[in-house]
Amino acid sequence: MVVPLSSMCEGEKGKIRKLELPPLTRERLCGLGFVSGEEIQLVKVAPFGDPKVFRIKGTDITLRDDISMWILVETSSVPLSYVSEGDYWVSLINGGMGFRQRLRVIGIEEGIKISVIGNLGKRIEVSAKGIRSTLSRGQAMRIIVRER
Amino acid sequence: MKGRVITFWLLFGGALLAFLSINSFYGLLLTKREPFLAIIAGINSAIYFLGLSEKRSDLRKRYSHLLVGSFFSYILSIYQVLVLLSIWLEGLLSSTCLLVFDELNLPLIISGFALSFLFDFAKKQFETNNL
Amino acid sequence: MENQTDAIESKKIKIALLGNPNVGKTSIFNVLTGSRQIVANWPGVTVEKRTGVMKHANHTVDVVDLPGTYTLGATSLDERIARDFLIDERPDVALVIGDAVNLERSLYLLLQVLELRGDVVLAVNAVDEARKAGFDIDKHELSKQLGIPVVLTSAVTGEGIEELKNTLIKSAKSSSHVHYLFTDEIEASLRNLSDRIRGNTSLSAFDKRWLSIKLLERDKEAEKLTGMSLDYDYSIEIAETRYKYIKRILSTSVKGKEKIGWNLSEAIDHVMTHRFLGILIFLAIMYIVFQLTFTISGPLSTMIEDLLSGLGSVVGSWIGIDWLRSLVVDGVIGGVGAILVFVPNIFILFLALGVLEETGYLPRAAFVIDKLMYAMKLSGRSFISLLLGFGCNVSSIMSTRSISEPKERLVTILVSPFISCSARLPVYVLIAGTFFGVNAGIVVFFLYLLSIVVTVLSALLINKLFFKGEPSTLIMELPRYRKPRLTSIVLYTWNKGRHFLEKAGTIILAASVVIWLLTYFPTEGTGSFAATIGKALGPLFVPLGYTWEMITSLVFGIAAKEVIVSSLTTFFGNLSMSGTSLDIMRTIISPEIALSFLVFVLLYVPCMPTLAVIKNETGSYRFVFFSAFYSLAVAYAVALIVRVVGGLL
Repeated sequence: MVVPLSSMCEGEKGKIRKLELPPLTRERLCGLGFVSGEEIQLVKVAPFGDPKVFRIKGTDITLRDDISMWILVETSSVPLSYVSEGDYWVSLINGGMGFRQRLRVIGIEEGIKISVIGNLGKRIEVSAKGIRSTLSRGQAMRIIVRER
Repeated sequence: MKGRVITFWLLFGGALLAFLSINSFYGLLLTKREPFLAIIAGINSAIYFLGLSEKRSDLRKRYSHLLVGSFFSYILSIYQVLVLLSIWLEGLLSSTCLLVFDELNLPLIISGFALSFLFDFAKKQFETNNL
Repeated sequence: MENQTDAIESKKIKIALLGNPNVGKTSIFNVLTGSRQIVANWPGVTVEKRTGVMKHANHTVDVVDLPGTYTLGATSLDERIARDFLIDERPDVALVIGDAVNLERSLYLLLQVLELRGDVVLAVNAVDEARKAGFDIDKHELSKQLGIPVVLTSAVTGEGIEELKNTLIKSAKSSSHVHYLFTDEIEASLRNLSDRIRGNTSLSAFDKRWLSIKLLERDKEAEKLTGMSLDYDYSIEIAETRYKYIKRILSTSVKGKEKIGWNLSEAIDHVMTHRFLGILIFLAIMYIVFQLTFTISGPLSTMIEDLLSGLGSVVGSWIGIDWLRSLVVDGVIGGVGAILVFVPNIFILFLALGVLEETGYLPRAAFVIDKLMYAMKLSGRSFISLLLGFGCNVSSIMSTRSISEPKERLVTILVSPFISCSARLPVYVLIAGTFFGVNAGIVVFFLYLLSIVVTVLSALLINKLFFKGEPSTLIMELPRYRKPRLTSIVLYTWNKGRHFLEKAGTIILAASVVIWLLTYFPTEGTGSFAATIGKALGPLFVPLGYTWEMITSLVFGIAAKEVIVSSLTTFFGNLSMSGTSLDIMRTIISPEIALSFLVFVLLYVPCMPTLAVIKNETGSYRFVFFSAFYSLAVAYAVALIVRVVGGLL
């Protein structure tokens, strides 16, 4: 799935597809290794959600969202809230102990297979380990899944 | 096994710094009241304690809290020594000794230097790629 | 043999240092030139220019440290400076410093240099770190593939430095230019363009292939130069070709282990940029820096003060003539002394900043605080400078040297005088204490709050005024943490701090003599020119309701804000009971005028040392005048509002 770099999740990796930026900024980024096909990882999000640190070619580069939202990356994993019905594997849960604990109760853990039954409106219906439950869109944003 | 060790040291460091923070805030044991220094020590204590909130399986993250926390305490004690140096100089200029025992904040200095060993220990873990 | 060639070779060699930021370029520069270096600004801009002299085997070599860049485009000021220097000054050798741990990006810059010119040497720095990380770099293979000399160096251990010096001198005598090839399609258009450029005789000084490449990249400068503009853009293809070429080179010349786990840098970063801890740690570190600068330097400043007053009384006893004694003791020694007491302050500040910069913490600090500053169209870097302003505006402005974005730096310099420095505190304490009694604390707090509000609003306004409101972009590398080296930090401190001594000192000397003249003639005190000025300015201040004593103290206060206190006490009564001397003021003016006076003191014209430093750092009087008049206008406006609103209450 192709998403803007700014909407990746902490720890997620992707491959750069396209830089939709003015030539000046693009050239500066090129010098830092932002060319298509290059692997990039979102390493860290700053305390107030912006800027973010990306690891590319072995170094950490900080970009604000106003730039990174124009860089498109191909990621194999997406937030649960974006996916259509089908089977997925949970690759990452973005949240603290409390959130993880709540998810564990309904059978959702990292590395677990999860089926999306309905993704319409404000709620997402899922089933994991045979437990059916509904998640809010905000919760689903914090669960990162991949297709196989 | 290793997980236990790190949990112990994080608790130890956090509690020690929390004590030092309260100590400087109220000026209890061998110290004078210094709210700002207390806040800094409190932040230091938070570095340790927040290490406990990392996933238990993620040793790297826990060790990094130990690493930075101990280094920070070390810096804090060096800073305190520098402050003392300046107080001593100040006194030298007016030819009075301004170095009162309470001014020293010995608990802070001593714990800082002691914790530097913990820093070395944590550093070694990363350098030898043990994590 | 060697001696013969040396005897013939008497032409001075010039070497330019290039490299990505944070690859240890400055450390290499330091080990090559030692302390024989000069730091100045590049003409017309506030980017630092470092030049030095390297002496090696009977050769004297001029070394120029170009600003750190990632490319040789003309997108940023740094890049333009580096590129123009290579084109216009034609140094004999271009030394590209690469990072052994991250060669890929360093080579990208190298390829761009190779497109532009020959006689390039590559120094792969920090090999010791790379070896520790498990990389094995084959310099012969690298040299063969690139066609240029390659030296492995480490500025920390000193490895390869002698070899580098030898190689540099050897390359200065040779002249070779290598090229690498792009895809057939691009090569064809390059040939085509080169032919067209060849026809233009005015471009004979430029490398045709380089110009052609730049044209394909739609480089604005190249288009202007040649008058040609293409309707297609190959910049992405060209960048990708360069990276592909680099990958091929590295696949044969560098062998590395698969990385497992975290290195120390990642571990430190996990906590330093932690969601909750990041800002707390930043504030803690800033507190420590602040304390070190303003508390620890205290006794040193006192020492200098004592020394100077001792000197003053000794010199004073030698001079018999009254006015001359006053000129030397009060004017020169007193005036320049007021600056010299800042010296420990400035040097300790730069020492602390040097440590933060050298270890690599500063970019993290900027990262952590960026979101807050972004609202002001500034970045995290300027926050550090503004924070230091609470101690002293001079040090605040001096510390903007670590802001790499010139635009942002200028805004920070212009707004930082609004931050309420410690010199203004005595004025607050005295007047608020006299007029507001138990509420004095609230008044002082209000003043500090006002100082922050005005700073923020001014930042927005100045940004709009000079830069049409566009925020500076943030593309910043977080370099790996390094152990700071004492020699680098000492050089850093000295290079940045000594300007304060040189320039601010000379301007201050002149200014303090002028102020002395104004206060001493025709008669000292209330009959002086300064007092006359105060009375003459009276009509202007009628709306504010200030008496001439207050106006004169404001005039004197331009020298240094603390002076307001001493002049007010002199004017308003007996010095012996300095604590209550201002009680008379209570009978003359109302509290709202006193409050408006405090606001005026907070906001009006920056003190002389600050103005001198603004001139020094921006390099033009334009901004000094702007700062003086803008702040005067703001002060007048806000003070008037306070008076009117206060009068209504």
